[in-house]
Amino acid sequence: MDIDKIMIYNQMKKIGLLLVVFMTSSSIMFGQGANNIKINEVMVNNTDNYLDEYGRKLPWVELVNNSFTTYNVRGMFITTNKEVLDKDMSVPERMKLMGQIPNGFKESLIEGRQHLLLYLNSKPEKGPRHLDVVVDPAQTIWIALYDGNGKNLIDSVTIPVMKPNCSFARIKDGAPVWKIQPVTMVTPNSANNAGQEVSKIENIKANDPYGILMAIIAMSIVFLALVLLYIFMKGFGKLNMSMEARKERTEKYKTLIKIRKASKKAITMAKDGYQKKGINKETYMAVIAMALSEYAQDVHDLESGIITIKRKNTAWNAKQF
Amino acid sequence: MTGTLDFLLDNFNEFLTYTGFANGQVENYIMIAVGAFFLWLAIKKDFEPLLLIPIGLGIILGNIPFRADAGLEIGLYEDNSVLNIFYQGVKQGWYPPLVFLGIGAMTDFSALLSNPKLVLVGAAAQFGIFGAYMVALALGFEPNQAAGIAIIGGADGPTAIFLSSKLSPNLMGAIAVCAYSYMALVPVIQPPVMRLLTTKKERLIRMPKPRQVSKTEKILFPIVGLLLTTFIVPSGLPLLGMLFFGNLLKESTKTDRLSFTAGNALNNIVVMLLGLTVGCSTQASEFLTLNTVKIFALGAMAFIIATMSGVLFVKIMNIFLKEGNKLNPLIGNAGVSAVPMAARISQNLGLEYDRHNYLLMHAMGPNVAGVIGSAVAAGVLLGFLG
Repeated sequence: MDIDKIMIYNQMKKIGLLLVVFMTSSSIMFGQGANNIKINEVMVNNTDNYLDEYGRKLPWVELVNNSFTTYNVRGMFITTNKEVLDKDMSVPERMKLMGQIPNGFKESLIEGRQHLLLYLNSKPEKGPRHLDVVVDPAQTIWIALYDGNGKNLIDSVTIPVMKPNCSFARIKDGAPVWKIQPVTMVTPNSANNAGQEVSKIENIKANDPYGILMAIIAMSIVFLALVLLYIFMKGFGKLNMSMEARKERTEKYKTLIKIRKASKKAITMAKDGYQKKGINKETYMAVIAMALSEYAQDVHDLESGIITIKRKNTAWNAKQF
Repeated sequence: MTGTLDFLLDNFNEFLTYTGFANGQVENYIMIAVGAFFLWLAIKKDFEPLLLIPIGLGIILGNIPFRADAGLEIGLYEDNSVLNIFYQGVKQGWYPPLVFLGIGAMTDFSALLSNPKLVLVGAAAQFGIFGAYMVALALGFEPNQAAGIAIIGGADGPTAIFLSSKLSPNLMGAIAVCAYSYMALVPVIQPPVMRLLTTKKERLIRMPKPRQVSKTEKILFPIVGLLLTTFIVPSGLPLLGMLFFGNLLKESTKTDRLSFTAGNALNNIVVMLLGLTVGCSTQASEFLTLNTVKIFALGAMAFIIATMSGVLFVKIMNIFLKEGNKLNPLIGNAGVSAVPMAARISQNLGLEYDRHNYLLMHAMGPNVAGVIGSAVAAGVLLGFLG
């Protein structure tokens, strides 16, 4: 294989690697995007609450995009049928048991931190936000959100039986804790954390009026973070130092071997010079000692060892001058 | 002719109502005098001129009186005015992370890496923040306001602005000016506390020479530091993320141009805009209140507590350290994140007692740890109260 081919091969390898990294990260990012869509609030017994565009009081489910970027939920599925949990069930069979969020309506594009309300117990012919998903308010209901492939479960929650017009909602948009919200606290199409900030401050004021607990907890966290840094620096520093020491020992050993070899050669040469050419012994010793010392300390010049002298006529040494 | 004269006079009178002289109140002149005092401190006394000149002029600029109802769109708090656009960087918390990017690109963490236990001094000094938080609560501030004020004890201007813009925006002007003023006054506040808490023998302690730090350690530190701190305190992400990003630009040695820009041009631009708009935000109506006096008192106290905690913590550490490995308590003050002013004070005070005892490199360890510590502390407070 010639050099050009090797270079092209190497470049292709790099591009291939980059593509793999790109595709892997893209799929992870796609996955993360879908996972940011959460079921946020559900009302299963709507007798005097949110009205649909026909003035009907239908059960509803609110989705929230918990990220800061826009995400399109078209093609995703909502279901209350637990049979879809059967992993062996084929995709077409699953899809029959689920209501699909249709394409072609702009609200399916949920902006960051925004919501989408979908009606249940309805028919898709009524509009894109109407799903053919059955809910019975007299029973505990499991409701799930599936990705567009009908297989990946994105989010699910079990709704207890509640009084009419109460909702089951996350305490804050996207938060893991759920709570039954009374009629006055139901928040269709808006954030679930209304009034939360005030209560947070009030809560701290009530439980820690002097700030002692906060000081202890916060200082502990600061110490924890910095102690972990200390452990890393200490551990890695030690590891690094031992590796450096090992490297140094290996280098020294290699140098020693080189010196021994060179010494043997030098002794042979010295003997030869002393016996055959009558060179002064002290001179030899001084030259060899200096050479070894410079060799060991790596202070010798780097030379190619090739001297090329070519005759070249230039203007200044031309014969006519 | 009379009509023309009347027209001219009316317009002239109208013009006069727009001037600063017609709209000026005593408070404006007081604030302008404060701004002039800051400029005097910076130019004549050489007190942190890079901070105090923009802030001082900003105070003057923000207190030039004008007719607020004229709709000229010139005031800091008027939508669409140029100053308001600059001010968004403070209000929305954009400038502090950018300053942290610059700090990261300029900071060498070698001193800390060579002697990792110094990071604990940086953690201990953050008690200044929480001590001041408790006192602020006792003085009647709400928890979110108390946290905004207490962060002054971290001795970190950008962190103070970042946290107060999130937790107590109405106090931000006073908090920012207070934080920067006290940072400039570190050479006045810290030495008496350090002298008070140390014996002559302790001040003479010589610390062993720091070991050489490998390039690998320097490169790994910002990556691991980012992961460790932000996994524990994700709310500190904007500050810690930018700090470690800037440091990685520097230490990777592959992005010299970016690192140079972050540490020089970008940092200078942001510091100018930050200082100027923070100064502008101290308009008399917002600034000359009893709360400002309380904030300045609490800020001074926070600085003193932080210095004390750092020095005392070193003394406690010395109980457990072997002879020859002991730390000079004069580096304890550097646990606050005023880089490198606090470390310079350790150096100067050390030289005062032993003219061959150079503490600067040792003090830089807790000093840079203080930067991380105060950002973590801000993240914790934001997490609890935000």
